Amino acid sequence: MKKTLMSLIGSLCILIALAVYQYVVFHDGKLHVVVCDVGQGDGIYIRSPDGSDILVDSGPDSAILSCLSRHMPFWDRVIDIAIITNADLDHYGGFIEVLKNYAVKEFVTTDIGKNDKMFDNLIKEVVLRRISTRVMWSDDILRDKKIQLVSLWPTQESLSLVNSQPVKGRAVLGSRTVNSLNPYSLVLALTYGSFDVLLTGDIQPPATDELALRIGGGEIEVLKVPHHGSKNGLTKKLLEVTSPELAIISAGRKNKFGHPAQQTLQLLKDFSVPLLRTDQRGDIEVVSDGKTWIVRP
Amino acid sequence: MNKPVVILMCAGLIAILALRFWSTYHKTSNYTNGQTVSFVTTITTTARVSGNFQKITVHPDPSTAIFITLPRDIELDYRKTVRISGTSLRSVLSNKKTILTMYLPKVEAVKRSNNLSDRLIQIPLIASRFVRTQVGLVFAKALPSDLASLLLGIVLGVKGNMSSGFSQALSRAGVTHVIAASGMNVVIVGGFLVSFFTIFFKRQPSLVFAIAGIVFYAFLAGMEPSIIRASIMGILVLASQIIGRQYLASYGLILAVYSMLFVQPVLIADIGFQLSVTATAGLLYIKPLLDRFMPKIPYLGEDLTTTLSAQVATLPILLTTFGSYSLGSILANLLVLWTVPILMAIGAAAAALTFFFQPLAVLVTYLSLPFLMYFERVVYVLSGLPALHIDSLPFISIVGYYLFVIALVVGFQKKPE
Repeated sequence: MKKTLMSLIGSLCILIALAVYQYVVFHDGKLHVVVCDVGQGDGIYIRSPDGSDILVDSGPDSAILSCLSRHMPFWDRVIDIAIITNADLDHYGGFIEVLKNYAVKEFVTTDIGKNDKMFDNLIKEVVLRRISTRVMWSDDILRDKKIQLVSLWPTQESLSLVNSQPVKGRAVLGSRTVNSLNPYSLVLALTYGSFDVLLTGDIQPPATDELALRIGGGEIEVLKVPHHGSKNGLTKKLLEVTSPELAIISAGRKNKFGHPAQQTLQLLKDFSVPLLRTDQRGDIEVVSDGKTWIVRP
Repeated sequence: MNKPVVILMCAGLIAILALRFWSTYHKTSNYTNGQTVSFVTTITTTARVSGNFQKITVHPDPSTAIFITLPRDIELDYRKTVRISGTSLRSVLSNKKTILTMYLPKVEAVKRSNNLSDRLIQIPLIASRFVRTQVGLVFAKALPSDLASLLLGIVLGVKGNMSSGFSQALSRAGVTHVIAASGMNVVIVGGFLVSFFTIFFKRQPSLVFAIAGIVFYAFLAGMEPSIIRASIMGILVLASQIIGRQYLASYGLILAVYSMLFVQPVLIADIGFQLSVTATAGLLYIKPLLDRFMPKIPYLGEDLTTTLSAQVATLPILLTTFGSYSLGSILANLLVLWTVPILMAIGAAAAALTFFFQPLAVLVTYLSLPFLMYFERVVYVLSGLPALHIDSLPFISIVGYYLFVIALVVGFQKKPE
């Protein structure tokens, strides 16, 4: 009995020390962008300098939870904004688990959803929890006090050109669907001071080149390579207009699609862009104070 | 009772069991590769959730086991009767064993005859599902997902939704057994319930209530073979106290094994059943020898002999099933086993508080965090140690191994003075 009591008192002391340590570490006033190792999929956790939590995609399953627990304080169970760039399972599957473990304040996506049971399950959970939802098109802006998150793609015009079908009974998270979702993937530019990150979802050519045209010019620091480094993602034009200082590929170890493709790796090599891959390195965390940035070892 | 009568009775019981096995296994399985099949079966185990899928073994007939993969949102409760339709495939595992599998077959609930026993079993099933869900939600509110699953596994033996990385690390470090409810859980639950009920009632009724509690705990833990075995033995301990007879653990184990195999002969091929029975036998027969002959090591003595005796008893099964044995496994067990009773106590307290005042349950759950983080760290570090790999272990060498161990146990057993 005495031993158990001593263990519990010891545990309480360690818990307090841990809380103090995590408070100091996680409230450093910097922007943290973590490309999570979620296997074959995308899951990007953003902790803004003022402490709000944004999750861009969630990978295919519960692997995202391990990433969040590694990069959030243990008592923080609130995600301020959850964004789905693409209604494919490898981008939204983990949100069903996230909803069971975190309170999500708002869901953001394009108006293009998917007509399948798993996606319906996610919507059911979102509606059940009365989470507010928002449709985002190009040029829409999400921001908090210090960072700015601007949508660059898709444009409403791009969708009006294709034959999209309404999804019966669907009011939120994509009331319409198209045969191929990738060209309408949500692309986001994250800015903090002079530090820029481009999150490209699964966008694929020719939409990638149209996106490059819209961007026009200006250098970025970090590029999340589209579509897990598939040959149908990154283009020369996008690299020319963005001139990234670092490229990150989110792909699963020994994935069945062979991502990243040799052509993509060669393209990045040709442009001398340093590359980090989640299948080789696990979570990749980039930290910026708005002027400088580092990749956390 | 004189000796010939006992021998005759034992022979009779063995013959009855043999007959039961013959009636189960005399028909050979007709399932072939690529065959379209449709069968009705009752779920008798808990599905393992992995990502967006769940995996479970079902028995279309007593002599056939099919490993099926399904979307995780299909409800597969214990004792639920379902019709499964799809294509059966013969798959070769990494250890070169061939098993029958079905990938994403169609599953439809089948309405069973609404007899009294079916209706009665629904009560603990619904109650245990409710308790598991509520406790799981509280743990998930306080802890990172893998650690919440670990605590749920330690307290209730529920595997939860553990990431595949952590699940594999537990397996490589040789400590997966802590997330399967078994003997230790039943001892703690039974002990607590008896002490609790004796506050309000006399000893005899308290023991009866504790037995009911153990049965409900077995439902909570998903009715896996290890918890059924442990529950039968635990109930026998309490029952022997009710009728005032001496309890011998050996007889308890034999009775548990006999009754389980009689009811469900296919359990003989179930790895969980094999590991549970051999590990318990190891604790009953090998541990006393190790305690006698091994020098006492401060702080580690009990845990070391417990781990070693269970590992000696289960080694051939581990090697034939997983094809490897982690060399860090003994060290991992020594480093984490001391945390299990503390985690069970914290988890049980939090679980109980869940139904009275959830915010307090969450706060209590936080107390487990340092122990769980330590557990997780040990597992990740030691899972990286090299493992002993064996492609195949001939049956004769397994028999030889066990005969050798039995000879040692018998040879060194204390003679009655």
